[in-house]
This record gives sequence, structure tokens and C-alpha cells, in this order.
Amino acid sequence: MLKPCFRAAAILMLALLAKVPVTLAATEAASTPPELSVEGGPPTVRLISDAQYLNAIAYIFGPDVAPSLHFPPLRRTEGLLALGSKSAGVTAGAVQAYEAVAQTIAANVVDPHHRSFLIGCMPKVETKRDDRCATQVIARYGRLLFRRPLSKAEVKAYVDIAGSDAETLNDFYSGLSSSLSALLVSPEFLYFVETEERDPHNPKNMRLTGQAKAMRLSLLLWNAPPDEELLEAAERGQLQTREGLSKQVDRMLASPRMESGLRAFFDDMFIFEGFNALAKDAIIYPAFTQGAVEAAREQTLRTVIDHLVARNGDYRDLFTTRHTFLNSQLSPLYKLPVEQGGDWVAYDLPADAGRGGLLSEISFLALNSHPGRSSPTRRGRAVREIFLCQKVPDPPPNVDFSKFEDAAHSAKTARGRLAEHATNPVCAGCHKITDPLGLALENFDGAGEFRRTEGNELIDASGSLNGVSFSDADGLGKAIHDSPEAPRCLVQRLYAYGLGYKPGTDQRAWLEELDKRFAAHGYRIVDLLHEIVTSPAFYAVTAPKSGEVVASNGS
Amino acid sequence: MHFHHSLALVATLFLLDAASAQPPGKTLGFTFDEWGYALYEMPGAAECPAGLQISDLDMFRAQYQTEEEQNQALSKHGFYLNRGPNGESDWLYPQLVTEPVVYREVQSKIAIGKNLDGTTDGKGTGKTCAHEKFVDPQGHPGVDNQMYRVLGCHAGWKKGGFLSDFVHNLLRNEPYDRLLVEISNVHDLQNDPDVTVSFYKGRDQLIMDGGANGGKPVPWQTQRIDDRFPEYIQSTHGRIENGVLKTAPANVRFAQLQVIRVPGEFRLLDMQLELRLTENGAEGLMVGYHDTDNWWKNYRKLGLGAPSVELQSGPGVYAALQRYADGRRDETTGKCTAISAAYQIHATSVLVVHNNDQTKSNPQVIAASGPAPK
Repeated sequence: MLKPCFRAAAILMLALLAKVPVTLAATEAASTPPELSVEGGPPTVRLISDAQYLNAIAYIFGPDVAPSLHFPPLRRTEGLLALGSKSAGVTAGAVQAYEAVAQTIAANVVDPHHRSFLIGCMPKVETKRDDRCATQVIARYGRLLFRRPLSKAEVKAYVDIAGSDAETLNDFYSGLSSSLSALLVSPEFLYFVETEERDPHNPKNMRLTGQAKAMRLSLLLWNAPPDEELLEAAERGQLQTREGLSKQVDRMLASPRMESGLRAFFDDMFIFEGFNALAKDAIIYPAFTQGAVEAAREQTLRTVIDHLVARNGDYRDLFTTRHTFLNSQLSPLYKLPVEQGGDWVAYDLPADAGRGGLLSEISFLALNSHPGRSSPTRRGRAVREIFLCQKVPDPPPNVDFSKFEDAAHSAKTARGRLAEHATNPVCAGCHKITDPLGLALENFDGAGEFRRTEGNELIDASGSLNGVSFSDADGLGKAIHDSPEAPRCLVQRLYAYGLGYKPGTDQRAWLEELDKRFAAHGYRIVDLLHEIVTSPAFYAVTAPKSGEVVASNGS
Repeated sequence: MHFHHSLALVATLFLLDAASAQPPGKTLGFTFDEWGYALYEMPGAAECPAGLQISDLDMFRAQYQTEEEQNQALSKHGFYLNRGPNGESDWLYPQLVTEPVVYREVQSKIAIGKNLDGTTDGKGTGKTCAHEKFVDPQGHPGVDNQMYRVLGCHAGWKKGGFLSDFVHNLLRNEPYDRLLVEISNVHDLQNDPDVTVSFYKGRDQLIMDGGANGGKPVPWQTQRIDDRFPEYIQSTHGRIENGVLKTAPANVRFAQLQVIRVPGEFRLLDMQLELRLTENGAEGLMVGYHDTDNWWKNYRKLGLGAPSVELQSGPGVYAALQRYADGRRDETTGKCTAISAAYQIHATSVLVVHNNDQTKSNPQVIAASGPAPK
């Protein structure tokens, strides 16, 4: 978060600069970084994710309206599910799922319990259609769901659905439910469609419309569609000015909804959808219960949000911090008591616990293991791919695991067994990349429980990264902490996540600039977010190429 | 808020005790997850040559043998449990009912348990009444477990029986029944001449693993002391001998649900634990004497449950209880008021959380009636 004095200065400067044409100049008065030319990409069309859907419904209608839902998963692209949303279609089966959820939500909105405060008007006769009341409801919720005002023709179409069904069913609210349900299965709601328009300051170029900027901003900061105030600002053109944009950014960064946005980002970056299908051998790991699975995911997200938002901490310290959260479900895995029973408690891990940082949390260790044993290779690969944004090639399809899994193998530890791969030139190339990192985490078994020995043999947890040697998980965490790739990777992921696509080469210089600014801010993620969402680069779009179909607001 | 935890093989807080020459040792925490009557079962239920107990309903049918008599009794007294001469409930007034079928008791010489009265022949002493001793399955003589004679031929209490399963599930599923045990001041897990053994009522659900039949408790989970019940904070001494904890006889009381959700209290006089410490828990015996009056007042609540399913009748149990009482002889009447019993225990290692200084520093020292057994 910007310090108040800096923010005040920034706001003052922005006020003075409000009428200056938008450039990539710094928002801080203290320095003037070079202006960078960013071409941007085409406007995106993104399918709504489960979490975005739930947030949208909760923020528009309230938290008790939506059922639990699981729509078809998105395809992970360039390290992020969010990028997969750009190329996701909706199958016939998925339409059924969307429709079922929509009907439930709509029925809940109009039920006797909710209608008094969600509908806002009453029909003259409950058993008949009432277009006046239906129009009010459709116009209000249609705007929030479609992230833009509905045209008169659109309102009339949805009101006609409500009226027709009300007459058929002799119930105004049932008719209204049909209409709301139709709004919820509309592509206008299920897809975030960015629209562009001619830039009045530079008519040769295109720019995102205010509504599209609002969506890009809101999806990154809140993982939700724009709220009413942001929509209003967009409709009034305020997001096209620095002052207007800054005002909304400050408001959104100060909102508790930002936690939800950051949670969604890290859940995506850490590949936590893996928890949805994570299972361990219950005989080998009895403490790895379903409750522990859910708690492990939550522990890491809590730790991250607490550190980065509540404490405004240095991102890199996440790899070394002993401050975390525990609950009773995790207590057996950590062999640490939890004072508050089922509740989460802040916890400083003992110095001799052998743990510290994200890499030694159950979530990372268990997700990147086999069902019945640890996996230095998976863990090493995950460290490189998730936290350092490096690509490790997939193993060849004909890997012979028999020697590695042979219980009678003379080597009792994973290090000894992995030596088989190291001596095989086909395998050695990749294992040299992954194993020195993963072996440093061998003091944790496949469920993440601490151990000193494997097969009665003392575990050697030494390893190295970029020439830096270490002897255990603490050392690995320190090496990642000190690695310049770690914060760079975060910038890269966060920026791509916000854009909805992998930045092109034209944005490389801008990303490097963001790296510098992230470092200058002490690796504080809220400041990084502020830099991103107040930068013109974040909203830069290319003009449509000949023959290319893009969304447009018709201007 | 003071925060203390106990753990065996993991990091432990070591607080220097000013009153002691050596630092306090480790503290081990446990919760009981199996706690059932020690009933030695022989192939084909050979310990019950007369067969197994019959239910109240069968007793009713034996008491009123014709359909006409049964209808008359039901018409007059309303319910088949009301078998007293004036329709009194047979569970509330068992002494008024004479069972028409003889009570089926254990006839075996072998039982699980310990020698509680110190005699080898079971002759009455000033404190006990004459009784027949058992030999334990390993051949040790002098075993006292007269409760086995009372309940050993109940199908419901045998392994897999309705009652044993029911009580087992209560113990695992109801936090009210959560008993926490701490062994503190442990300097040697194999042999330690003096350790402190404390008992607390817990307050948390057990976290179970994903195994069959509801799973087993996950070791090393957190369990909090329910300090709303200071009366269940108790402490005594014991010793560890070749990895087996042996506690000195002491009178204990533990919170325990009776029937489904009727709060009750488990009391055991001269209670001794003999538990082998294992990697993730402990197992062994809890022995002692039940005050017959207290035990019956708890036990009769089963008559409010499903007596026909339980396959037992109240008057038979009550009469056998009086007949086999062997401890706490009343000098005035010459009758014994307590009965020897043994329980088979399995405990899981847990991390006991003290939320209150009181639970750590000032447990109620329970009356120890003798030194730790050799």
C-alpha cells in the first residue's frame, strides 16, 4: 500500500495532470521513469470462472443466494487458469449446469425471504404480470449482471419473459424468476466481453471503453464484475481520466473485496485447483483427512493474504516466514497444538520445527507429491514453474519407474533412488534442474509431515539453486527469497492474470519497469497492483486487424 | 491467556520447576478412543454354558406365558417393562421383580483384569467380601473382575454387540465423553519411577482418518481441556516400567454420557491404569471398583433406551450386581457396596491444550489409596 504521504502527493499530482493526455509517465512525482510504448493486445473475451460467478452473485444479491457450483474447469494456459478463460467455450453440458444454477439463484432472489429487500417493488396483483415492477428489477439487475445499461429493447424483451411466465403460472414472482434466470444464462453475463472505441485523443488508436476498463480493473482487484459505483464511473467516462481512475483504484484497493481478488490470483498461480482431486493413501497418511486437504489450501491463502495485505509484507519473505495460521485439522500434520479448537489461529512456527515459508507448508508439499510418497522431482519442478516462472520439460512417456519404486532397492531414501535417473543421460538433463530443489524438501513426506529419516536412514536434504547451496528446506526458502527470478515471476504472473493473456514482446520493457518499481516499493504487492492498474499500459489495446472480429461498442 | 501444549516426540516446552532439582520431563497427551468392559470371549461363547441373556420382552413372555395373560398384563400395566407386582418398571424397581428365567452368568475361570484386593484366594477381608478369583489369559492368578460375571453373557456387550458398539460410538462422536490424560514429568519413556498422571474432560470432536467403520482418530490432533468442568480435573501419580504406565490406585470421576445424550458420570474407586505406551498412543487396562449404587443408577438409563434390542433385563443385572459385589464392605451390614471391574482401553496420542492456568498448576489431587503397583 502506498504510504499516506506518498499517496496524497500522487493524488495531488494526478489532479494537476488530469487534463494532460494519457501517457506511461510515472504516477509518482518523485521520479520520472521513461515513457514506454506499449502496443497492448486485442480486447479479450473471458469466460466467467466459478469464483467470479459466486462473487458476482454474492455482491449483487447477497451471499446466501447462490448454491455451491462447479462449472467445467478452465484449461491452464501459460501457468494460469485465468488465461485459459480467454479460449474457453461453453458446451451443451455446461449450458445445462449454468441453467440449473441460474434457476436456483433466480428462485432464491424472488422467494418470500429475499424478495422484500431484493426486489424493491411490489406487483399490484401478485397473481398477474406487472411490467412496471418487472422493468425496475430487470433494468437494475440487468445492468449489474451485464456490466452495462440494458437497452430499452433488451429490457422489454426480459420484461416480456417475466410477464408471459407470470400469466402462465399466475404468479408475478415466478415470472420474474424466469426473467432473472434468462439474464443469468446470457452470454452477456457468462462472458466478460471487452469493447474498444476510438481514442479521442489519438483517433488513429483504439482504447478500451470505460466499461471494459472497469471489468479489467475489477477482475484483477476483486475477481468480480464491477460494482455499481465503478459502473457509474465508467458510464460517466471517469475511468478515462487519471483522476477518475485513481479515485476508483484507491477505493477498490481499500475494499475488503481486494482480499478475495488476491486470493483468487494466488489460488490460480499456486495451481490450487489440484486440491479438488487431491487424494492420499489413507493407510500411509491417516492424518491427511479431507478436512486437512481443505485446511491446507486455506492455510496458505491465509498466510499469503495476511502477509501481503494485512502486514503489507515483502513478497519474498513468504518463502522464509514462520508466521502462519493453523487449525485443528492441520494440527496432526504439523504435530503442533492449536489453541482455539476448530478456529484458525495465527501461529509462529517454532524455530526448530524445520519449517518456514510457503515451500514447507502442507499445501505445496502434499500437492506436489505422489499419493503414497514424496516426490523431489515434482516438488523441484513446481518450485521452478510456479515461483520462478521457468518451464521444465515434461518427462518422456517411457520413463522406467520400476527401479525407483522397487521396495527392495538398496537405496532407502529418495536421493539414493533418484541417483538412477541422474546416471541415465536421457533423464539426467531435467532431473538436474528439478531434484536439487526438491531434495531439499525431503524432510517432509508425501503428506507434508516432518521426518528425519526414510527407511531408517538419515535424510540428506541438501541442494542448490543457481550455484547457491543449502542443507535443508530453510536454505531453499532463503535461496528463493534471494533469487531475482521470484519477484520477477510474480510480476509476470500478476500482470498476465490481469490482462487475461500473456503479454507480448512489446510489453517486455514495461514488465522490466514494473520489476524495478516492485523492488522500489519493497516488494509490496498492493503497491505493485497500484502501479499496474493505474498504468495506461494495462489498458492498452490494439486496433482491430483487417477481417478480425472484435467486440465493439458500435462507435 | 496461558498456552501450554503437550507432545511426546516433538518439540516440547521445558519449564524449569523451581521446586525440583531436575527439570520437568516431557508431557505425553492421550485421549481414550476405545473404552469397553473387559469381557473375555471364548470360542462358541463357552464362558456362558447356559447361553446368553434374554431380553425384557422375552422375560415378559416367560412371566406371562399365555397370550391372554400377556394381554391382561399389558392392559393393566401398560407396557411390557412394567413387570413389578403392581406394574412397577422393572428397570426402576428391579428389586421388586423376580425373573422367571435364571440369570445367565459367566462360568469360566479366565478373565481379563488385575488383582485388586491383594489376596490370591478371594477370601473376604475387612474391606472386601469373599469372591471367586479368575486367572488372566496369560495365566496370572488372583484376577478380580466380578463385573465380567454380571455382564459377560450379554450379547449386547460382546464385541460387535449393540451395546458395545453404541458406547464405542458415543465415546468417539460425543465431545462430552472426551477424556484427556496427560502423563507429565516423564524423563524416561521406558522406565521412570515417578510420573504425574492428570485427567481432564476434553471438549473437542475427534478428527478421524478415512479408514473403514468411521475410521480411527488421527494421532497428534489438538484436544482442548473443557475447563468449564473443574470437577473433572484430577491428578495422581504413577510409574513407567518397561514402557508400561502403572498408576497408583485412586478414586476418579469422568464425564460420560449415559444412553444417548443423558449426561452422567463414570466413577471408579481405586482406579489403576496399566497402559503400554506405543508410538502413537497407549493400550491396556483400566481397573478398579464400581460403587454398585452409582453404577446401577447410570446403567438403568439403558432401560430408557431400547431394552428389547439390548437383549438384557434390568432385574437380572441388578440382582447379579448385588450378588457379586466384592469391594467396599459395609461394616454395619457386612455387605459389599462395590464391584470389581476391568476395562480395555485404547488411547491415541493427542496434543492437550491448556487454556487455563488452573488446569495446569492446580489439578485436584485425587485420593490415592496406595502406592503405584509393583
